[in-house]
Amino acid sequence: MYVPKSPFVLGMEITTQCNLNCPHCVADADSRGKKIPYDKAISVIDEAERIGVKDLVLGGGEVLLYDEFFNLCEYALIKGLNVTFSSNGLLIPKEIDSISRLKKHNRMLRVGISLDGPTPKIHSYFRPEDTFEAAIRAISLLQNEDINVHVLCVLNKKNIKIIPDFLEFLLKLNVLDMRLLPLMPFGRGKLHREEMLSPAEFYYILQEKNKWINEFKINIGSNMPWEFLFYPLDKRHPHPCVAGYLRFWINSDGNMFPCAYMSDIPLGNIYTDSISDVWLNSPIMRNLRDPSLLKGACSTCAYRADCRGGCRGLAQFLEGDYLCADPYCPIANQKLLK
Amino acid sequence: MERMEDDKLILYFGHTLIVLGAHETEIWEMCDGEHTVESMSNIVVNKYTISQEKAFNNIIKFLNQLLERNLIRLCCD
Repeated sequence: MYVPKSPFVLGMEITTQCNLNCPHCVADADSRGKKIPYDKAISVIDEAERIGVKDLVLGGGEVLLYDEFFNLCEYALIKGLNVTFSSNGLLIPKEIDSISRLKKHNRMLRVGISLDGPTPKIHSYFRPEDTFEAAIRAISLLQNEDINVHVLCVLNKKNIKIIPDFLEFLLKLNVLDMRLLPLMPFGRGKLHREEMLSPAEFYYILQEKNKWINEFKINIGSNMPWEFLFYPLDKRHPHPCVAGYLRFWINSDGNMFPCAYMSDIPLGNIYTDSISDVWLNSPIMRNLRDPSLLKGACSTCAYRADCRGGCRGLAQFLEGDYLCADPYCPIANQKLLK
Repeated sequence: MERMEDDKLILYFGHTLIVLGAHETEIWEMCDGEHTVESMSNIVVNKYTISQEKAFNNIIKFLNQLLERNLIRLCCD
């Protein structure tokens, strides 16, 4: 499989400051937070542009609390990068004019709004209840400005039972793009491992997903590398976990990671290393790209070369080794059950 | 999203990379809503030493791969 010379997508956690304090937050964000200094963030964008990164994902925390946020976005857009950021929606009304002004650069600008269900009660499983209305208002304001908006939904034990209702609700809001994000055992999510979906709950979502896409005409994004196993044989196009292959992640300390879900495996730091050098030469990145090193069920799996073991973050956190099989993979699970 | 790496065109689509060689890239660039398969194969035949039938079949095969991955749509007039 071809390994690109640099990541296509670069994620940068510019701040862990947040106006909320959600119990499941993978960034462990709070009111104080940390941030990547503006000048350093600019130099990261410079290198990203130079090495061919196409998409910049700005994450937090709540990115709208970052003082120079719009200057940073503008700089990236001028450099020719597409920019995506996510928000809980609370500050969108205050910043909508500044967001709208970013459109003039004619690059792709996408905003993800966190919304976990079609009612305040369901939405508030992890989040404060009053953020429901804020999220709805934010979506509407962004749509009025013709900004590409998608919904980010963290799956939980409650909302997985009403996904069709949620999709119907999103359709009424004219939201045509949603991402399903499983609760991951990272950041404060580590304290809520019991809230992670079981493999069976996961499989239910993936089995139903295509039916829902056809029924509601909403693009439903989820990205488990072994999702292809839920497609008919002739429609299976396995692709590997994006860690080490397509994406790269920088946290607010400047540490570099294969992805946001591998936050206990730092590969380097933006204050001392170049992204390009780490991408090409980090021994961990090389290991991630070598399917022959995969262990357990993956070591004999027919899909090993293309799937490369599923989510490397889940393997690391749940199995203690990023070269183990993703414990949520149906094939690995079957073997474990035996 | 796409970018050139050496002589290859790399397409990034749906968390997948598709790597196109020089000839495939030429066909990909002709997937502009203007060219028909026939006009593509005429261009290829005029440029390279290849029979019309072989060029046509190779192009169809490649377009089918793109179609299967939803990278192109067929337009009918």
